[in-house]
Amino acid sequence: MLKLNGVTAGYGHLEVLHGISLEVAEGEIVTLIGANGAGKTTTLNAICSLVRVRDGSIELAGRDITRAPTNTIVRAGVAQVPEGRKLFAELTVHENLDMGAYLRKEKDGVLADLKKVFGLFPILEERQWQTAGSLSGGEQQMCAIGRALMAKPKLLLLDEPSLGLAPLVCRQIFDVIRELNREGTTILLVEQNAHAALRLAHRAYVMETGTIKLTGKAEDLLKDEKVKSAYLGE
Amino acid sequence: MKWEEIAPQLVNALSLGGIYALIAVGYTMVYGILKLINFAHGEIFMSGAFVGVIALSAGWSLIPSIAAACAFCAVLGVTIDRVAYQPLRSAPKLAPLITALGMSIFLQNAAMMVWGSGMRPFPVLSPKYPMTLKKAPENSKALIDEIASRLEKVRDGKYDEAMTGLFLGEYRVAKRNLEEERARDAKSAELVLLEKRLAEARENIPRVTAVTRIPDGLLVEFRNGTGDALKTLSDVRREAQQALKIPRTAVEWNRMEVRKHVLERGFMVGGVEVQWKQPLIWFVTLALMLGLEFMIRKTSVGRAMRAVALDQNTAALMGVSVNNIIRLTFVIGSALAAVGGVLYALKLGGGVVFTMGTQVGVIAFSAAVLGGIGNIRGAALGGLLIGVITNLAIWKLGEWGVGGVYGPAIAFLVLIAVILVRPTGLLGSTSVERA
Ligand SMILES: Nc1ncnc2c1ncn2[C@@H]1O[C@H](COP(=O)(O)OP(=O)(O)OP(=O)(O)O)[C@@H](O)[C@H]1O
Ligand SMILES: [Mg+2]
Repeated sequence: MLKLNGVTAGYGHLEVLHGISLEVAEGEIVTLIGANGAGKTTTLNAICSLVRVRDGSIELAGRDITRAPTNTIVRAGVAQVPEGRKLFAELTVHENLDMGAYLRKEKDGVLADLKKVFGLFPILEERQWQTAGSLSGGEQQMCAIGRALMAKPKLLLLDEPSLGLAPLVCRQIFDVIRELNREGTTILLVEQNAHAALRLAHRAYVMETGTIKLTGKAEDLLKDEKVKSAYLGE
Repeated sequence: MKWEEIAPQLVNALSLGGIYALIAVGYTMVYGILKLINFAHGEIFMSGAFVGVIALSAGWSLIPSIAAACAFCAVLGVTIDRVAYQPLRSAPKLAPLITALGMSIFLQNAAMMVWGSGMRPFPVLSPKYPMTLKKAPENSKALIDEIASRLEKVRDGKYDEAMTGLFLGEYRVAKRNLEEERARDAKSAELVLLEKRLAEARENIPRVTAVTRIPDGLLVEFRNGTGDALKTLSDVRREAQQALKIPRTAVEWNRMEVRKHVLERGFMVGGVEVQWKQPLIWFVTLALMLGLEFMIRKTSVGRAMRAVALDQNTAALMGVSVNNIIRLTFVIGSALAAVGGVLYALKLGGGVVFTMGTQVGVIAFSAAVLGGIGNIRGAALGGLLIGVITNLAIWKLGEWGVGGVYGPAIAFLVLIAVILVRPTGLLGSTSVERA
């Protein structure tokens, strides 16, 4: 579904990604873990062309999407829950969710998905007419995930969806991710909570200062000594 | 203050305010999305006024003329963005500000080269008849033939200005010529004949016998031949010009009535005359503002515009083509400025000149700041307020013997006072710089 071949990217003179190669097969949950500043967010943004890819290539479902305009990548079925939620603070919750479905024309499908999002996060239905900026952090995270779901993506990129959430909400969000995957959505998950991520994912990549250091089945990495000491705090 | 005094001022102020609002919206929309003051916006307004006046002068009616101005300005606005701003999207904010200033100067000069440096008069909307001013023939015989041939047409009932308006002048020239020739050659038989023909013509030149005021015009009655004219035609035209405040060319000689175009006419309310064009300006402004408000608040494109204004990257992640939204912003802002330009020209009635964008631009920009830059309702409110304040200030200052040119200065004083108390403008968000 998604394939990065030696992707190099950065900001100004600073090169942050030094030739990243990774792959996400259709129907998989793949997690990307690594220390702060490793380049995880930059990787997701390179996939969406929000950061310019300097070298290497990115393929989506066999199509080359390297440096394609962001909106065409989204049109091809990619949605991102960006780091820090990035809600449109002055738009209402409802309008934020509508923005997620911006490219969709089938009104019935959109309405059904809105119902589904409200089913997953009932608090959003209650708060739908207030501005997204007035939601609590956790509610904002739910709204950001809901907004991405409204796009009905084939590939969902999640950047630290559990950040700042209470354990219960956190578990709920991981359940939602598993459920979405079961329904056929391919998922690339960036997480600080490596433990939860590795238990959820099929496969994982470990990133360190702009390079992929380790990769394998999630369950194997959970037992890996280096991973244990560096990311699982054991 | 009496109602009769203040009402016309208010009528004017509302029209002017509406026009400022239309222009202010363009500043505020572009600022909202690009965080850029589009200094060339005043020139877009000026271009719209020019295109409108040119189309009206070519005999187009008001709505097609406004449409032409909108189309022209929409293309102009998008081109300005493409040439001057788009290459600098990721540059420091100062850079596009400087190209904006450059663009403004360039457009003003381009307008001067293409449309000339003089004032282009606002055309008369009333039906006109082509005036064929021929050079008077040199010799007396040809001149008298010319008069005679015109008189033929008059007898057929075909009055028009070209025929009637020039009779007296040409009669005088012909008469003087004959006198000169007579002085040189006292005994010419041909001269005698010509003198006779001229005297006959004199009898047949149409004369104005009565001029009466009718609603919205003058009724001019002519009589051929005998009797002295009450007035010459040029007298009547001067009178029409003064009484009706319309150019002399507006006179419809063939129906012998002088009528104003509906937009130049007025109606009475509470003892105050209001010209039809004023409510037209209110209506157009209000309709466009409500339409814009609906588009921004209720449609998917409007929502995308607000999203792009808040966060371009995230809007792109929703599948929005940010460049298309920016282009659309320029299209809408420029088209509204074009409408403002044509209405402004219509309201003032004098004419358009290539520098007109500067002052109006600065005032409309102030209106946008007063309302809270980036806020569309604020721009509408600011425009209306600045229009009213400027208008009343010009009027009162005039009464006190201070030049009306200080009107805008008063508006700026109000702006400064408001900004000191509320730095974000009347409706601006309270955070100083939105994230
Ligand atoms: N907009 C930017 N301009 C310049 N440098 C940036 C920018 N964004 C990120 N960086 C740098 O790129 C490197 C990688 O950042 P990135 O956000 O991709 O890390 P991350 O793995 O997502 O970290 P975290 O776990 O803290 O979110 C960091 O050193 C960061 O300082
Ligand atoms: Mg990150």
